[in-house]
Amino acid sequence: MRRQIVGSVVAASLFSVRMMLLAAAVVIERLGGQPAQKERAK
Amino acid sequence: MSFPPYRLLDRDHIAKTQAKFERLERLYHVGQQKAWDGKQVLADLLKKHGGIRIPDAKRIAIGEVFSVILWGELAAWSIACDLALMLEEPGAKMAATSQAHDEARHFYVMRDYLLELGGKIPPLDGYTATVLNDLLDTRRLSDKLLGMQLIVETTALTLFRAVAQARVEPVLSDLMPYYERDEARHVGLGVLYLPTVLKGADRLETARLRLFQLKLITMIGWGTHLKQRYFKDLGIDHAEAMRYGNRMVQEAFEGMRSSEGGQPRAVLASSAMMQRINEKAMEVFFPSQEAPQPAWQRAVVGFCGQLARVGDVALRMAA
Ligand SMILES: [Fe+2]
Ligand SMILES: [Fe+2]
Repeated sequence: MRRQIVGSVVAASLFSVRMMLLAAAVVIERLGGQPAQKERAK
Repeated sequence: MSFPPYRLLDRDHIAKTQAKFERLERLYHVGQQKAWDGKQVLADLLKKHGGIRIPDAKRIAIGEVFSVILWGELAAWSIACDLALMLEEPGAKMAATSQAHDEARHFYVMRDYLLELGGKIPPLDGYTATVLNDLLDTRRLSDKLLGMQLIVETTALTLFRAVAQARVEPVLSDLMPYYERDEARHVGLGVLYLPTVLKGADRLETARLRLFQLKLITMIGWGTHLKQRYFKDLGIDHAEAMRYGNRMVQEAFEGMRSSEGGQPRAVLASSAMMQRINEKAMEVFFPSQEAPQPAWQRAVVGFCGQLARVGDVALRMAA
């Protein structure tokens, strides 16, 4: 039971962190940063 | 429910259900045909390649990544046995029974390989331990089928493919196609039977199942962060592997859509928007190791690695 609760809390926190980081990444890119991944040379 | 279920002998019942579950039954027969002798295969591969000869860094990395697989196979074995008990339809029961037979082989071959590899095999990380314990502990058929067959099996398949392609170590890389072939059938059980199991799910159950999948996927993602270093040591390209895994999940969804009843709403479907978010996330968090990354992205990835370690400690303490 304890494992279940801690597991859910950790999962929810890490999921939120990821979403925030993702949003931040999109903003950084929009503000003129480099794209996350350079397109492969043709 | 009372035993025996006499309808299983009833001609009308059989005629009615046979067409529907024929493909499930086939998984069992194919499993029997394609069953391989694990002892023999491993011995032959060891002989062919003159044993396992790799630098220490790679040995450690293999131990880190494949301790996950070893315990994953053991869990899959037990969960396949759970499924074989829980499923009532003979075709599905046969497929699960065949899977249990496969997973037993996967476990002992991996154990023997790791013993041959030598060195210290680390304990299971907190993320994988949480995922596997969740799937072992749950008494819900839908959770087991969805979590194991669709999420864990596709993750394992992705890893097996990556290890084979990266030629990580000749014996291990040659072993992987044997595993891959079997695991593809196990995904098949989920694809073919989930629509039947999830048909009656109401809105609450649908929401619960989606949340459950989100938890599993989150755990697996952070578990990947945790092992990032070792993937790098093995020469496995994250980005490539993730793309492959994603494609496979899409294929499983396609398979379900075309099966009777269509794709169940309880399966975390990839709407166009979800798919875009997903792709963006892979691009940011699991960048290709070949392409140069901007500084901010390196910082993000490094931060995730550190956070992954914090989460790992928390999960281990709770165990
Ligand atoms: Fe397996
Ligand atoms: Fe499997």
